[in-house]
Amino acid sequence: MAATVADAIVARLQSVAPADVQVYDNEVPEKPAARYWVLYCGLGIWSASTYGGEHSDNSVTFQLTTVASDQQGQMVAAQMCRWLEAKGVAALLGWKPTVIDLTCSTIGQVQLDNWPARDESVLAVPTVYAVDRFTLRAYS
Amino acid sequence: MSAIIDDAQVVKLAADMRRSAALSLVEITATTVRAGKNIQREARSAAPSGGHVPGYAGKITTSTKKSAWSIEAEVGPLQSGQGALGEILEFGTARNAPHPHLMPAADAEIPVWLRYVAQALGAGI
Repeated sequence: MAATVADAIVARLQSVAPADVQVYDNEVPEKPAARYWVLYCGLGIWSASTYGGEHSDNSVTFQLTTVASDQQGQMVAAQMCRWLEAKGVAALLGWKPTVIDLTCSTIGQVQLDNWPARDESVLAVPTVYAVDRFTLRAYS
Repeated sequence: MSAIIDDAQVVKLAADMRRSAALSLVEITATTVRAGKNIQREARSAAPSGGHVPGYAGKITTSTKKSAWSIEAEVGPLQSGQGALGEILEFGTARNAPHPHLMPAADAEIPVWLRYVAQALGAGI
């Protein structure tokens, strides 16, 4: 069982990642893999369901950034990125994390009008990334 | 055979509905403009403001578009100067972390706005 929601999500992504795909947690190393997911997830916002009650309801919004690079060019990178993004979304959507001392809902997706975009930074290899955001509720 | 139809009540109802729709739109316009401003304020307060983007938050503005039967409010950074960095800041890039400030501001305000819209509609009928 994971210690935090973020740990549970990282483990979930690692369990479905193809062999050459890396999963990074909140930070991308200086020399990342050609294809990776990076999870940006905080502790969420705790609130009380009753006035003066215990802050036991947790609302977590997190972002999964899918990245693919390919020497053959941006179009190939974009196709790879889209494929990998779909795999990541499928692994998370509707899945219920198991976390110590927390009961979690299934994961839902935040509606975004985003599609794979070229990374405009000066990178050695054409790189495309896509962003997806998700939410879940949990209580302790 | 003939029938006499008294449509006075129907005519009155139609007039009431036209009047209530106009009244509702006035209130919905006001609450929508207010919601836009609230989102703008929250987004500005949560926007990154470090050394690289000192002027970014000030680029987040609200514009409203109104017709006889609709009201639209759009909140976001102007696409000039540091405002053009809005999408990169909100969603990050392949190697840079996101700084969510626009969508959380909208997510927080929309339920409040919907509540006021429902009240305005309820009051109008």
